[in-house]
Amino acid sequence: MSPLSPGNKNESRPTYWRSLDELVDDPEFRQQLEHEFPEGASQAPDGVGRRQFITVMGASVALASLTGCRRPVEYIVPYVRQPEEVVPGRALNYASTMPLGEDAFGVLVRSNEGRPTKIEGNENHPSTRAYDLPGQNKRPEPRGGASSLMLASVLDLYDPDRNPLVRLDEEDRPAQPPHGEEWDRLAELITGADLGSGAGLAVLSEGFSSPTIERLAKRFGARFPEARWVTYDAISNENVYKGTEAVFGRPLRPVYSFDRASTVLALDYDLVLGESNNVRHAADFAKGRHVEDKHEDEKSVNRLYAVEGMYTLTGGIADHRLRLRSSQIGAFTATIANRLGIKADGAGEFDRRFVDSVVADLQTAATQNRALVVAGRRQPAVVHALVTAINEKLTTADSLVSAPRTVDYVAVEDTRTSSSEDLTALVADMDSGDIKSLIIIGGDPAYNTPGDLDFVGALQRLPFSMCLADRFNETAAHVKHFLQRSHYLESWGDARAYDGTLSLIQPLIEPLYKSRTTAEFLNIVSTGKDVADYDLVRQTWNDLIGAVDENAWRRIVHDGVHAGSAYKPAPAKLVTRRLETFLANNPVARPATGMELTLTVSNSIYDGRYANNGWLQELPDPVTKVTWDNVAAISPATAHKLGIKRKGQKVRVTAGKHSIELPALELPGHADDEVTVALGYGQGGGRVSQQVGRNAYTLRSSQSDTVGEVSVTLVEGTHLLATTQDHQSMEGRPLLRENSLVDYKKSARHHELLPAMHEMDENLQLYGSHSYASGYQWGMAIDLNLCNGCNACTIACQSENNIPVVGKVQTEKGREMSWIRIDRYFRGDTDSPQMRHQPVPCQHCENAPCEQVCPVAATVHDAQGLNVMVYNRCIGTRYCANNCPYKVRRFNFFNFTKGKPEVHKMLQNPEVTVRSRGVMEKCSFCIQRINHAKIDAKLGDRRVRDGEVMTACQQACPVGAIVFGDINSDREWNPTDTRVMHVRGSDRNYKMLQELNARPRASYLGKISNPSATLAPAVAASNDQGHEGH
Amino acid sequence: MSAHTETSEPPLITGTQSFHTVSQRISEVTEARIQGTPKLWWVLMVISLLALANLGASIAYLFWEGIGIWGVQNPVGWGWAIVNFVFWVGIGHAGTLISAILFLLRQRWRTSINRFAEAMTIFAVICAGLFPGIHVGRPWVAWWMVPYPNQMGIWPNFRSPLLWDMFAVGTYFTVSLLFWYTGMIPDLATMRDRAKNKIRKISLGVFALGFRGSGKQWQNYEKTYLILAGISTPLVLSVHSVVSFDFAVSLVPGWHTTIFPPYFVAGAIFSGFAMVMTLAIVARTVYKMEDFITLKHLENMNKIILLTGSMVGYAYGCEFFISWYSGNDYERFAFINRATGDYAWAYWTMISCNVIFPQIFWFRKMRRSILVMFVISIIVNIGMWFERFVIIVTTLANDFMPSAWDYFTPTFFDISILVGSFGLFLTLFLLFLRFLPMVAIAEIKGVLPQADPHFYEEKH
Repeated sequence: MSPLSPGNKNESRPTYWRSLDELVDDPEFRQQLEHEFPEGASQAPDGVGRRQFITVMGASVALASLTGCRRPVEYIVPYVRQPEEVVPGRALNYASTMPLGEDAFGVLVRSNEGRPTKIEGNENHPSTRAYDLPGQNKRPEPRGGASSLMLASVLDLYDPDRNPLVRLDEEDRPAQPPHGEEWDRLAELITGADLGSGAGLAVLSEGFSSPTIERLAKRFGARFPEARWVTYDAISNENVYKGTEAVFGRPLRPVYSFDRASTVLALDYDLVLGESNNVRHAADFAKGRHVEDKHEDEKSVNRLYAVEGMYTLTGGIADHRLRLRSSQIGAFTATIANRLGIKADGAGEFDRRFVDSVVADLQTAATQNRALVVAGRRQPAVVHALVTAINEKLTTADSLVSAPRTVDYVAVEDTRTSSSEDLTALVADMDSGDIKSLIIIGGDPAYNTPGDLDFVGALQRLPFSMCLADRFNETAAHVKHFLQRSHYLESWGDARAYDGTLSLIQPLIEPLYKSRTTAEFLNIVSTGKDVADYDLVRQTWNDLIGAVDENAWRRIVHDGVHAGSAYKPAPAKLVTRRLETFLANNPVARPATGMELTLTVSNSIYDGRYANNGWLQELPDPVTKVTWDNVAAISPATAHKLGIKRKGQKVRVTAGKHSIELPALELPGHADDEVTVALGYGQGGGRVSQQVGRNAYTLRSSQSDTVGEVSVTLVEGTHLLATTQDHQSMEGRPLLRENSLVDYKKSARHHELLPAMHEMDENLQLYGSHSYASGYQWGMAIDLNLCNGCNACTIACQSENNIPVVGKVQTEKGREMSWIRIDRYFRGDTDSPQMRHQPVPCQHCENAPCEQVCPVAATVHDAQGLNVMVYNRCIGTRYCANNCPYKVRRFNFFNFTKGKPEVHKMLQNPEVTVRSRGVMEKCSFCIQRINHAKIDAKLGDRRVRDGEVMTACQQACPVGAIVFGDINSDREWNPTDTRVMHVRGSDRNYKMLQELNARPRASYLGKISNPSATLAPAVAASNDQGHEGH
Repeated sequence: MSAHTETSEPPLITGTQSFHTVSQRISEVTEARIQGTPKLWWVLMVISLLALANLGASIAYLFWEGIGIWGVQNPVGWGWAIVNFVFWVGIGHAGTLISAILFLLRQRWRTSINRFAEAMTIFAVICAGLFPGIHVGRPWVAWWMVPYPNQMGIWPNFRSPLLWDMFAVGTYFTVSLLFWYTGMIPDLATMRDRAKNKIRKISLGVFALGFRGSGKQWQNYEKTYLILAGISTPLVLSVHSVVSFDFAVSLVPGWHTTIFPPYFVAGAIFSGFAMVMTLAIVARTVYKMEDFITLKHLENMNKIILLTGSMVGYAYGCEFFISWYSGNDYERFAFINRATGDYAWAYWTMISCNVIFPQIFWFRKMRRSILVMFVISIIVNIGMWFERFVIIVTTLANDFMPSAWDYFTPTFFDISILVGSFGLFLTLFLLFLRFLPMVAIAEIKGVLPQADPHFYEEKH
């Protein structure tokens, strides 16, 4: 019986009734209900004779088959009252902000008829301002870049696990009333809990950076003066603040300007993924890395040194990389510090030439204030203290050099940062009974607290516990009261960006389920009053920026930021004596002996908060190319030592009392005797996150992110690993071409980047070909020098083009659907190879091999040079995919959208067909965007402007590696070069597999690295002695 | 002296046969009652029907779920379905070759084997034709490959080798069917005349098209047969050439080679003869047709297997040489990878089955050993299936983009559909053995010593 039928007398649920009869619930009505249809409609009346039966049957069969011929009738209901600004079929964009711990990223959200469907970066927001290659004459329009997390966060809004009525496994979870109920009784619950003035009460909050939440947290403090406020995030900048405090006497936040640095030393720091403000950092780094042409001044191109254990994307774009275990970073930092004249114990012996080169380059750069040293947040405070001291040392105090600094220090406001000491103390007090009531705001501490703290045990003993969470996660399962928090796309709120800029969160949609924001929650808890989030935010901002008139407020809402509100650099002075005391008390730790374990933030799902996001789970890790899993990454030498022979062989990693079994993955370039495991996996509670990977938080200690002295042993069994790329070497093929800056400047011709197989004369044609000389001719250029492999384009494409998630098993079979994939190659020896990334969308060949072989002409060329796919015509022979040299075509082996949660339909981009089973699909150069721009242009009686059409991948790319536009060189049509034509005019421009004469419309710009002359040339235009990693 | 002792050729038909015994021995198989059907036939039929039912169930599930139930993936877009297609088309080569080309070359020994070789062709092409239809993603619209006038003015893409393929296989099937049927008309007439039951008489009469054995009818028949043989001959060469275009016209290294047409044709004849051999030995044993299908026939076929096997071996070598000589690195890699890469096991299976094992037929004793030739014929069939597997799967698995390389693993349904296609083939073949004249009665009579106009003169 359905839950809505009157038989289900669940008193706790609201009663919905279909008719008055049902409400009255009289027996006659119930009988009628059970019959479902009125008498005579489906059942023959009693006493039917044979003849009559046959007649009725015959008629039914005839009628049934008739209805089978028709589709169900659906009525289109037009807007009776059209909402303001909404034009059906026209998307609107709204600026908002995505908070992520202490970070806040500016987003532009596309809304189709009131449904948020796509996220872009906000160009007005300092954290998401993208870099773009300059054009010939003018600078490009400002553009917002995005990270994969930002882009995928829209899927979280439609997470079906947020629906209070739909639970995956009812048995596993304690009886909980639907979320809405709890919200209605919240004030009552708080009163009932008799919290007094807060003695024995604690709040465990995630880190945040929001004026409104901070204001309400203070009000909470006023209401419960004796309550304790603890902040905990699994991944945080806690150590960074401790480091700056050691140097400056107070915790300050470093704000880096990578664009100003000519020499960067990254110590276990991934500027692309995993650290704060990463979108901006990647964009700024790209600005310093950009090579216009071979006349580029060598000094204008930056140089990056990376020192790290596991390969990161930063290691991939580095000019030199030294592989060191995480625990050796401290000693390395001390070595560099000593060489620069800062006294620190614990220095070690490292590759002398590398150290010399780093020091020399840093010192040269320092003369112009262009040196920068950064350290990853999992490094201990002492490393950050040393790095801060080094950066201060490298900043010339000379007033003659007025160059701006590469790092500014700011005092943060409205921000609470994680503190592991506070958490440890809290758990101890929960155990001892000093804390009796706990309110958890955000985060998932039951899942992500370190394994040496028995948080869950302590939590379960509390008489009163409540949590506000984004979905029913592991913490929710262990508390007495669970309240669902609104997604940021359903909320009013505010945040401060990493540089302090005030940013506004505005809702795109009413909350889908009954949920409230953190601010609303805190307000109810402290005042008992249910005030709307909008009013709470307005109130804060009235205090913050003064009473502004409505227009000024609207401006802020429109832009998403309050311009000019960034923190001012704080006066920061290095006090040597204080540093020395700190170093004496906190010496640089000696490198671990034996195997060590490093726990990293996941490149796909961050600290685990995105674990229920299918897009991110299926997004290949940019380094390992593993999807749907976390692995124990080890170096080939260590793998050999452990006796690992096959991919996915299981190892048991034991740290202290805890151990987990993980599939081992041999990763070239990984430090020896170190095993790296990504956090965020092995999470219960979600239909996606369940049974994906293992929870590495159990191995974590509350003291440090690096766990020395772990034991790693080979155990029986192999785990199925779904990797999207199994072969690591380019096999000497000139697919990704590159050269060093020095050699590039010397070279006469572009293909000396890396020799092509055969340069083909493009005019060589057996038959005459279409000239493609009139009208718009779309083309793309991808600058491999700027691309860092961050995966944002892949997710942007998935979101824009309704690309389905296929799951682990299908991904393992090689049936992932991504339209733009990122190829990752290693070159050099397996111990310290170089890692390269190359995004590959459909190349839109003019002479397309796919088109010639399709028997039904389902893939054809249009006059604009696009290789278009006619889904309706496709019969699915897959011949096109076989004949595609770039292997960019994706086939719907099953109906991949079958069984999709109903709510996901709201997410679909209405301008892109959802493909059915049995058809081929591939990148379309976002033809829906092209057509939109063309329609607009036609209505405005003008041409499509250069830059008006941005493909989804291009728009998301923080570093501007992808340029798209019209490449028609007819001077009557394009009197001056468009940006893409200008970029393609570079002598680094080449077409992949050009010798096949497929004439792709996408081209690549060769990568240029800038190795130090004193170190062995890292890149030579030689053949690749690739690593066979099959 | 009798005529046949004058020639050095041994007689094509052994035993003491008269025109009547020939008719009797061949027709009685089809006239037998249920009890008269050999037990072995029943055993084989039950097995075949099980396999056929399995095919039906597998295809039903395939249509329900999608081709994802197979092992095909990116980059291996074509898997066992296309391997099976090429394999069965190849099998379907021997029949028409024996019928048409050997007929035109006046190889009279073919008469004993041509009928069931042709039947085998028809059934193999039916099996082959199944696969392109079911391997597409949306089989319910597979007919869009057919150029038919429509209100939208949409035509298929005439540049696509798949379209040529459809025409080539379709034409081949039609002509082979006509050829087979035409050749059967006098035998059907014989059987009609022997029929004792009315229904049998009428139905055979319909198919015999009123053939009465008059001189004029014989003359017309012979002429038609000759013309059809003439039409079929180029088809034997063209159909597998066109099938090979599916690969040769693409630009995938390992496929894009001009050697493919002759190499495919040689391979097809090779595999076709091996299959005829397998079936001939079975039919001969089940129905005790040793007098009609003599060791001489089998030996001749073994010689052809030896010849075509060596041609195929030459083609393998040639491919390797050319891939090296071309200087094209992709090409070179594709071939070295075949022999040394992940699929080396498949490659060496192919080489040993197709090139090494058939060399045993250099020895006359081996050529005349039923056991040896039966084993070799099976080995060749396995080898030729692997040849297609090597060509299709290993090539696609490792082409231009190392980043996309992957390993193909078949699933249960890949195997079950292959097994099922054998079920379909054997079911049809067993039905043929049981209900149609498996040896050409009229033609056999033509090669009996008695058919010599001077036979009786000599005797008396």
